[in-house]
Amino acid sequence: MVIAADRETAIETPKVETWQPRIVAFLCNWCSYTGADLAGISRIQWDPSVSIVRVMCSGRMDPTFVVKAFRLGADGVIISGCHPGDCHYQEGNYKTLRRVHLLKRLLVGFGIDSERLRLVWVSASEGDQWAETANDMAREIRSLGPLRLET
Amino acid sequence: MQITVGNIIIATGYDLFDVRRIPQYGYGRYDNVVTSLEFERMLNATGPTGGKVLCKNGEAPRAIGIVHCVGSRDENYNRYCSRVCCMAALKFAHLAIERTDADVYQFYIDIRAFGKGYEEFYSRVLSEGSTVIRGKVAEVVPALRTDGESPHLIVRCEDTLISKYREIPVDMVVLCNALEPQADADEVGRIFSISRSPDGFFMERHPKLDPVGTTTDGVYIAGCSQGPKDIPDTVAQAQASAARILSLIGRGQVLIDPVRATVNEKLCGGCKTCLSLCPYTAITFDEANEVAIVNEALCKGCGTCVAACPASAITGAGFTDEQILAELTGLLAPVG
Repeated sequence: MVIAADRETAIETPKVETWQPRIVAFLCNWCSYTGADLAGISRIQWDPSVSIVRVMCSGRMDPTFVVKAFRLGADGVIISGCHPGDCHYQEGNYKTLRRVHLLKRLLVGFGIDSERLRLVWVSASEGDQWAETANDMAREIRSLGPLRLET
Repeated sequence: MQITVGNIIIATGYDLFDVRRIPQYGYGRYDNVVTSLEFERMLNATGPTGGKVLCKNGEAPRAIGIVHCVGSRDENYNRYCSRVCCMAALKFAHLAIERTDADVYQFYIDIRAFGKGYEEFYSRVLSEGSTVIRGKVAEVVPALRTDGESPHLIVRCEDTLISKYREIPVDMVVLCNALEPQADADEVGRIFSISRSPDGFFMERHPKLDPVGTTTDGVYIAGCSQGPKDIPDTVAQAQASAARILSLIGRGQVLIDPVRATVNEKLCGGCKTCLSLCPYTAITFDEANEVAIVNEALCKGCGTCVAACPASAITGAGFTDEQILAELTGLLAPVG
């Protein structure tokens, strides 16, 4: 869980008029990624500022990934897993739930609003819910504005 | 009871939509309002009426109304099409014309005669004299005949082809109720960790490329548990599931996903953090060397241990830290 310092580059403050949020969404393979896929198949549009990284389980979420995403310029991070009790790996989402609680406190220490990290549950059948989650997060990040980290 | 098996086919079927949920159709309140399966039973030669179509008072009906899409294709109940009812309703009309002198009315939204030979059957039933009225039934109400004859029912509906409100007097109403997921589908889905689609039926692994597989290895689905379907489709799906399993049994070996966790024994500090995290108890501890060992056959590759290892000694194939961080770097690379 060591953050490599070499890749870090100073992040320029973007101009407000052209600024678009950049949100990274970590989706578990079995529920949320399939749900987002369903949204695609159903031709439901969602905010293009949300980019997806697939992981096998939300339990794979190393807190480093979140911190690193913010460091690399993300304005928000979504972690989405199966609904509690429905995890394909039985209980990976509970592990994430525990980690996210701690991680949010850590983020505040770093000067990052805890709202910029969101943990949600989206099942494979909830394509519309995924689109709503992505849009809602994008709305919130737009109202919070760009993340400015001291470098 | 416990039986050890290598593969499972889930073919738990469907539940019928409870037509009491649409009280304006009068099921349970009026004698001669029946569901499709009750009518089917009446048509059966070994059924309670010996195959005769009779009203509750023992008289033959003079007119029968068959209502399609009861609980299907309806925003208030189920949005999907139950697929089997159109053809079943046409068959009811065919048999009712054959066995009674009754006028047979069908109330439909669209006739979906999609299968082989189905359209021809639809044309045949039309030529036999069944009246089809395109429009959703608003309600079924009782009415007394002025000449003191036995009570009958009035079907109120809109005929959308002539844009008129109509009232059709009938003696018997057959409600073609929707096919719904089993009431305990949620529980069954959880036991096998397979998902359900928005309509509540079990979800196939891929709608086009894997219509009988599920997200759980070795578990297959067939029939109406996956969605409403008629007998030929169910047979095809059941045979596909069986063939998939036979190919596995014939091979005698199972291919497993390459997504697995491995421990780098040089980095492992023996803290045992990972042991309690693994939901499959795939990680054991080698007391002699004081390192954790992953059983690759038991590991399902979720990566929970990979994320938790404080020494970064566990790697998850396909989803290593380097790969995910590289993905992040690419995603967040400055634009333009």
